[in-house]
Amino acid sequence: MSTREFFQRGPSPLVRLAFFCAFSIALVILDTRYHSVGFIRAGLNIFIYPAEQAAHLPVYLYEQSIEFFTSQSELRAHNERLNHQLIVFSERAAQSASLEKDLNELRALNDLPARTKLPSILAEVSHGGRNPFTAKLVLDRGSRAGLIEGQPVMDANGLIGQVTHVSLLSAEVTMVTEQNQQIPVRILRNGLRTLSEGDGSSGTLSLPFLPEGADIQAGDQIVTSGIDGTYPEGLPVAMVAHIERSSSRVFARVTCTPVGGIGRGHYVLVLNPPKSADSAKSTETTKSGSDHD
Amino acid sequence: MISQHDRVLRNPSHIRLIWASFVIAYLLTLLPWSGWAVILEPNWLLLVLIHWWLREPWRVGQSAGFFSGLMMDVAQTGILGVSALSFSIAGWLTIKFRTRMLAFSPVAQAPQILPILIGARLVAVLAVWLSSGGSPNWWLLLGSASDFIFWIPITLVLHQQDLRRSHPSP
Repeated sequence: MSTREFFQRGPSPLVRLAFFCAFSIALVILDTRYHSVGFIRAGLNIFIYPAEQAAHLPVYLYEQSIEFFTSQSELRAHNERLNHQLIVFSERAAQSASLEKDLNELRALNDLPARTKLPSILAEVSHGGRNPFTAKLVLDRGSRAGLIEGQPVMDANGLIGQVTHVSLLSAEVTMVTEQNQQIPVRILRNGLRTLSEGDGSSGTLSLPFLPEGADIQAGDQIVTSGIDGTYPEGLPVAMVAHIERSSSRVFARVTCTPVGGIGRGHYVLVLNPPKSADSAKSTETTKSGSDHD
Repeated sequence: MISQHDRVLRNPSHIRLIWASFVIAYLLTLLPWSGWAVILEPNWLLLVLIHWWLREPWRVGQSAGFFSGLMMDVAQTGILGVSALSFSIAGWLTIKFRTRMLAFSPVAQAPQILPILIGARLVAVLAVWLSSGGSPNWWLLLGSASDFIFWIPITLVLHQQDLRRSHPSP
């Protein structure tokens, strides 16, 4: 070691601490208030991806070996259940096709644009986000597969969340139960519109803006209302679990349990927000309208 | 109580050992933890960082803490900067009390490191609470117990490996 190196100390630890603290706090503010550090996250994610795959390998192999030794009877039972579901769903699909035709005819009669089916991307949940602070999922598809921020994500049972960060090969989904995650919803039974809000760590949702006298009861199904143009209309979100009414409060306290179940290795569907399809359509309508003029 | 290993001049730690310890700690962080395991998971990176801050502060400095924190935030899909902040503060505290702590054996160091481990988690809980609202998740402080439990084996293994590499047997 040369004499110069030996005496070269640089800034004192306290100065370094102040610098790194200021930098960290700036990052926290930029991330939470302005969502403008996505590029840092996306950049680092590219390096993390191979390490993540390596870390998941033993768990993956273990799960595969467990699956390999699944008993014949279990597989049979599973197959039977799937067959049963297939019959039920094909009947519903047939019904829904005829209903959709009727609906589109009625919409055409009223000069409303026909509803279009939204393209979706199938993705697999690679892990549960590993974050003790937030309810998140990480998908194995990213911007390379065409995912963009803001897309709604659902599984076989219903809505589970929204894509909030996208990197090249993976994407983060913020769950519907996450604190401050709001979704415009309606009660399926009576069409009452409101907003749902995640409760955070408890894993439930609440409907904070329903007045005391609102017509709502335990067991009511909550679906998306499609009002914001982010979530398509009619996706199941939650089931009302508990209602607490008190004359001293303006709003009822409604707790709901989400219907979308989640776990590692499960497949989810990333939907395209209806906003993009609608805006394309409205531009078309305006154009044709101006042509007529 | 006083460790004899640190009373004598020794060769600097092998750079490969430092890197390997960080890679292993990061891979452990990247395991698909879920449920209660997320809360009780030891802060692997911080434990390795504290070990090297005590032994090799010239090579593993406060900047290593900051960057490890950033990597941790990305791995945990958390708010960017939270772990970086908590690791930076833990780094400063460790380096500040380093000389005193090194006078003790790794086992005797543990109770002195516990406040740093709790402090690091407390900073993270408060930073998340202040930045995103809601109520602070105090359960996360429970993880300091597993940090404390894992500190002794981690520091002992790294110390042993360090000695073996610094003084290779003939």
